[in-house]
Amino acid sequence: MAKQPAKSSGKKPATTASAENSSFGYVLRNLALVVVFGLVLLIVDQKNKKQRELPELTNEFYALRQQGTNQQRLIELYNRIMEIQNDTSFTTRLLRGYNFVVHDVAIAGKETVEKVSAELHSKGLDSTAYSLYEAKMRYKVGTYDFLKNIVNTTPENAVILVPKGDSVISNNSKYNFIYEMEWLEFFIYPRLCINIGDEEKYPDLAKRASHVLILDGRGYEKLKYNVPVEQRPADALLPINEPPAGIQTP
Amino acid sequence: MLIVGILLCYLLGAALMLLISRRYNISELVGYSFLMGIAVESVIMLFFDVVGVKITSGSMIAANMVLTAAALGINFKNLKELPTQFQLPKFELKHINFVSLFFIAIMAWLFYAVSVKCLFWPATDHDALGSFDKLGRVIALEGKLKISLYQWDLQGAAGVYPPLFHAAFAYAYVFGATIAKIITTLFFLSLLLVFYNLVKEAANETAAAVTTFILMLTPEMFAHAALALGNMPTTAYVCAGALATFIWIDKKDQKYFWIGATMMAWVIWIRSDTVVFTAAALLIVGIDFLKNKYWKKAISYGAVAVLPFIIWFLYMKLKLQTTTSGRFDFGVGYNAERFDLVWGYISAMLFAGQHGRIDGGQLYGISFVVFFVLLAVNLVWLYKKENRSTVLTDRWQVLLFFFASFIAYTLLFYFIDEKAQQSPLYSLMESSFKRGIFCFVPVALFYATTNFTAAKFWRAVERFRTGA
Repeated sequence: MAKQPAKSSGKKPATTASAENSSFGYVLRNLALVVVFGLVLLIVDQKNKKQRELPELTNEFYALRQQGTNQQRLIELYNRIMEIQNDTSFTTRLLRGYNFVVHDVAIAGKETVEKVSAELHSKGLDSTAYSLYEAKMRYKVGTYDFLKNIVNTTPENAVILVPKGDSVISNNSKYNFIYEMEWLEFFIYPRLCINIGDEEKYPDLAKRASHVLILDGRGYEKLKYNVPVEQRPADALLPINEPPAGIQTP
Repeated sequence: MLIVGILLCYLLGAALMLLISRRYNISELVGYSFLMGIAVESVIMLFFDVVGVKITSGSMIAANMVLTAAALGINFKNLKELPTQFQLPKFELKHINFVSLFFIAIMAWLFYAVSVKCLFWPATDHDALGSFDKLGRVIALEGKLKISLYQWDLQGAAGVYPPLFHAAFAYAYVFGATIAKIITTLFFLSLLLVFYNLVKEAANETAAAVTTFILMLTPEMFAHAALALGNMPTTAYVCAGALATFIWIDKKDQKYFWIGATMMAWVIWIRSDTVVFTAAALLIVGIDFLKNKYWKKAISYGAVAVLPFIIWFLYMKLKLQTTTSGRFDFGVGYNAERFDLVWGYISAMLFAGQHGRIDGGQLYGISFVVFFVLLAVNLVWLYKKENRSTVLTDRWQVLLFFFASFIAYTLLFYFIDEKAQQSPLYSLMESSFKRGIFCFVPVALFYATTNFTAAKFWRAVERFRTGA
């Protein structure tokens, strides 16, 4: 409650003192709560500390195993890794996602951006917005140069036949999702694409096919000319009707 | 140029939000304006597509200016009172909530970090390249929603989704973006601001800051704040629509009625499977209507919330000449194997368990566990310490919405036709279902913070904090 103002002169009015006290108390109570909440966050972070050791321990383990030296350290590392991985208690499972959020997505994500950004700048790849975009795409999509080559070597009205993703192609990460038409179309638009085997589904598109994308040696059967086996590259983009310069047909 | 487009979108959204109410604080207005603005941009694009006007930066600027001017013009009389009603933040010491400030400071840094990541990398996620981002780019290039790729089924899975999300990307590309992921960042910002303000309205500032912090850090959702996928943006609309509807049922404040209805309408303008949320919202509004008998309001809510569904259905049938039906197999009936598979994933997701490649704790952190623990605590508390009749009535609308929409959402997957989807059920549960669960997180956390017992706790914290 606010007090009446003090009558004596020269002293601070009681209301001001009280207000200051209550303001001080207000801030103190707030800070007490901040400390409590801060401690909770700190405990959660400490609980996840072990998770953060894992990548470093794993790297050291594999490096040592490759060298085949220091068996004692290797055993120590193995035991420590197993100890962390075997900690599947409810609280660990409940809280380790927050380690991923803070340390992997936020902190490491930001650091990676800064590192890559500096790297691209040092190579002069950020001179235009588009060159920077391309450099980033190359960083993220392994097949980007191969896909760019398709765009650079075909006319805009090209229709490309593409082998379907069988167990070999779709399990090889070097192809990304190149065998999925919806994914491939992102990179080659306005060129069109169609999976080999879907010609009956899209007969008009199949009729317009102008190129065949060869993936892991698949697709040669769709060419209207024969490429000698010894001249067959595993991955290529070939015109469907006539061989490109450099390929000697029988 | 992109900045012009984004500003126009915010202005349009703000002008429309001010038609609903003038009682906003700055963060509230910023949060809702983007959600409203970008949704209306997608409606403009659909309109242009139907009438044959090319979608370009020029046509979009013209439409924005006309609509913003119209909304402000209609509202001119009321807007004159705005300076007296607009809530500016107070900076007196005793008005500063240091606890809230502490959490907001951490959230601001985390938001900055994830936005740096989001804005730097181009969209490279499988679904973004195969669908959302591709649709956005090609819409901007061809100047229409029904792009040429539909002719050859090359549009991707999102081609049959209502246009809000990919049209938002198209909007950024129309205004010259090289990477359109600013849209993801703005959706994430809106989600946080809207959730914070709605929880603050139902509880208090401290509770809102702590709960928003938990929402933001929901591990899998935070990761999506740097991707170009539609689940987090969908969550923003479900959050705004559902929570505003709950508050309206509670307080009968006209502002929340219209926010609830319009945001719930955008929920089915961003994805089709979100119809389960609209259905659940209609269910709780319907029950409240039976109690309070307000014909006009109930019909208005239903009409507004369902209208986008009808528009999109007609557009798909008449213009795209396709439907999403035929993707379900209701002949499955009760299938124990299927049921066990679905239940295995659900229990792992909701109770921080593990099933297949799903680790519920790793994906959603404490969000759902806190919800179920506090549900149990609240029911026991009400039964033992308070009026027993409140066991059934405390936050009934939130619980009914959560469970009704969750059951309906689960049934969508249970009855899904694996052949038509070209994907086995377990794979759908580990991908689509897992991401769709985001939408339930704000609802679960809202209940966890505002139920009777939790509210009591937060009031006690507030009493201590303020010394009242």
